Amino acid sequence: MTHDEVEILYIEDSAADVELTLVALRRCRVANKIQVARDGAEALDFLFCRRAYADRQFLAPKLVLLDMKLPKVDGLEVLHAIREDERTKMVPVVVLTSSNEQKDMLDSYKLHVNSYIQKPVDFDQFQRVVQQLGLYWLVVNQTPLPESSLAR
Amino acid sequence: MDGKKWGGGFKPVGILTALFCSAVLGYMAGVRQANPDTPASSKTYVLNLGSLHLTLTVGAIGVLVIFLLTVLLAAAVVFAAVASRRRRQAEAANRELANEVKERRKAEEEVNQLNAELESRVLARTEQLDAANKELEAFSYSVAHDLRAPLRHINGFSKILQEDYGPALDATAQHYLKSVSDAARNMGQLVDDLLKMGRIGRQALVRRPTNLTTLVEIARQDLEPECAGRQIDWRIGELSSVECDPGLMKQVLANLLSNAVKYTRVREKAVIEVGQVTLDCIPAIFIRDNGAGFDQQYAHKLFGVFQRLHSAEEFEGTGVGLATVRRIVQKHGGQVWAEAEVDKGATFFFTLADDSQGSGCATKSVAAGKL
Repeated sequence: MTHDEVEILYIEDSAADVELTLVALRRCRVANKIQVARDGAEALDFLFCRRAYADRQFLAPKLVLLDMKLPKVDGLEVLHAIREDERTKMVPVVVLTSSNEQKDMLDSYKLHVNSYIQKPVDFDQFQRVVQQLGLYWLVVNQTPLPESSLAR
Repeated sequence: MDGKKWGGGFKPVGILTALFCSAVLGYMAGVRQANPDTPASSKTYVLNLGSLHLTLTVGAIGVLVIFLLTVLLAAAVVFAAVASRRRRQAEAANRELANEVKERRKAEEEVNQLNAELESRVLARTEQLDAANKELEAFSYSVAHDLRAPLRHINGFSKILQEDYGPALDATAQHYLKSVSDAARNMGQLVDDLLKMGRIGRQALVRRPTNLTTLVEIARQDLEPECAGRQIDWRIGELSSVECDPGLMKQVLANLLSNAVKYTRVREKAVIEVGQVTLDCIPAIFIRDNGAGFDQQYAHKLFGVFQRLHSAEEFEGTGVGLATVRRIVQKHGGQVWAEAEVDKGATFFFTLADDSQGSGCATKSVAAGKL
């Protein structure tokens, strides 16, 4: 996989959560082009081809899976940056978090999050949720081509 | 000054006036008789008589005037003495009044100071409470986020181990793994329930006129997945409309109905009755079932957090449901209590009005078990 053809940008600081999510996605064979970022800063660097990812060719992922509580730059800040940039403002972002705090939910929806999901403790449910997510956003859902490609 | 005192002053004036008048009349009589036609001898007599009368009268008037002046002087002295006494009294009263005013002002200042102190103390307490609340919120946020995560990992990895490596493990190893994943899931449920209860505590009550019958019907419909394959005879009576927080009240009904469904699992035919009675002049809603019931002597433990009267093997649960019910009912100023007998079902009652402000009805024995 090259950095250019990433389907899912998964922003999660917990190694255990990353592993569990990858197991769930692998089991349903939905996605294998996943880029994991361990904090918000790394995610934005990757997304906007900065610093360590400066040589990456920009291409918006099909889905951003976003944890709320992240080191350095938190989930809401990442979401804000994604919605602020012309190139990424339409990218589907799904918050996948432990918290179901009303405030987090409200703030996320105010920033036009596409979906807000609380990670279930039970792995069977967690697996189902992750698989449904992958299937829906990568297979069922359709996203428009970038406006720049239409103009040409 | 009253009229009596003045009356004493009028008398000498009257006498004086009378004497003066008689003197004048006497003199005039003398003058009239001493006209030129009258004989000289008789004229002299009349003149002498007139001057005698005049002299006597003037003397009497002089005596009376002196008497009157004396009386006036005495009255003036008495009056001055009385006035001075009155003045002294008035001055004393004024001093007393001034003192009183001073004292009152002082007391008022003290009250004001106490009020200000009280106000600043209330402010400080409110600040402390706000801080404690914020701390609690931060705590519950961190519980939600940081405590749930490791539970999810324990459950997840033990499940993956079971599923991917199960065939390589013997029955005991598989049983242990299942226990690990079950325990993590249960604790996850516990954490979720506790957080939900904590949130209710901090949530503001929004009372609206609410039809309880409709709310019961909604709560019952939500329970349909749990009722699948069961034979349940629902007997839902007519309930009154009350002023309550519909969201929270639905949680009360959902908890109590779900308990009724759970604990009647042992019956082939479950009967769950919802109705309304009037106890101590207050309407009380009841939910009655013919399920496993419980020993009434432990009724007081029923509504405590994590308190359970059945083992998790018999009936699953975290012991947070009824604690949540109590918290919501108490937030509404009501009470909740239960009556039951082992193996003969249970009845849960709750009121929403505060019966301490009731219509003066005598408290009956039914209140004894209220929580």
